[in-house]
Amino acid sequence: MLPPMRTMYLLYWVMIAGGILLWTIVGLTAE
Amino acid sequence: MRRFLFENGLSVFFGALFLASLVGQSFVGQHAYNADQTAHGSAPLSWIDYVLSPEFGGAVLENWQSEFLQFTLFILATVWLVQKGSNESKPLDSVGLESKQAQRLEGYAPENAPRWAKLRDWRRRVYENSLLLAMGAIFFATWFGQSLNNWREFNADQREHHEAAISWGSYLLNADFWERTLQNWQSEFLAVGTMAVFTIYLRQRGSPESKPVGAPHEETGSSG
Repeated sequence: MLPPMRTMYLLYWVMIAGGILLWTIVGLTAE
Repeated sequence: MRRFLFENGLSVFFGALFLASLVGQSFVGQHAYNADQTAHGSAPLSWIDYVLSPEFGGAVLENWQSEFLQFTLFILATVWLVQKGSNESKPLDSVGLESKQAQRLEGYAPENAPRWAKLRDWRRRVYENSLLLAMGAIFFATWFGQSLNNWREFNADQREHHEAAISWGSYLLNADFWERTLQNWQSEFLAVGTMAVFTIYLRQRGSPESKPVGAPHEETGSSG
C-alpha cells in the first residue's frame, strides 16, 4: 500500500501524462 | 478515509474541480461545436468524437501549456529575482541558489532527507532542479500537443474554405498559432505579477499565499 501522499502525486502524473498522450495522438492522427 | 481526505484535501479538491470542469467543458464544447456545424449544414459530432477532435484537444492543451509555463517561469524567476514586501518572494539577501547548509544538501542533509539530496554526483543536480524540469517538460509537451491540434483544426478550416492546407512547420509561424498561444500567456503573466505585488499590501488571514495579517508591508516572504 502506497502512502496517501504518493498516491495523490502519482494520480496527478497519470492525469497529466494521460491527457498529453491522448491529445497528442489526436493531433498526430486527425484528418 | 476521513483522515485521507483531511491530509490530502488540497490535491483532492483541485483534482475533483479539474475533472468536473474538463467534463463540463467537453459537454458545452460539443454543444457549441454542433450548433456551428448545424448552422453550416454539416453533420454534428457525438460526445466521444468531439472529445477526440483537434478542436477539443487544442482547447484543452492550450490552457494547460500556459498554466505550466506560468509555474515553470515562477519557479525559475523566484530563484534569481525578488520583490520587496511580497509573500511570493524570498528575503532579499537570499537571491540565487543558496548555500548547501540552507538547502540541506550533502553533509547538511538530515537522516530522512530524500536519498538523492545526500549524493554528490549528477543525481543531486537532477534532483535539485526536478520541480523545474518536470513543470518545464509538461509545458513543452502540452505546447507541442496544442500546436498539432491547432494545426489540424486550421487545415480543416482551410479545406472547408477551399484554401490550401499548410505544413506543421509553417503553422508554427502562423499568426493563428501565436494568437492562441499569447492570449493564454498574457493572462498568466498578469496574474503572477499581480500576486507578486498585491501580497505586499493585501492579506488573507489563514492563507499561506498571504503574509500574516499583521505583517508589515516591508516584510518580504514571511510565510515562506
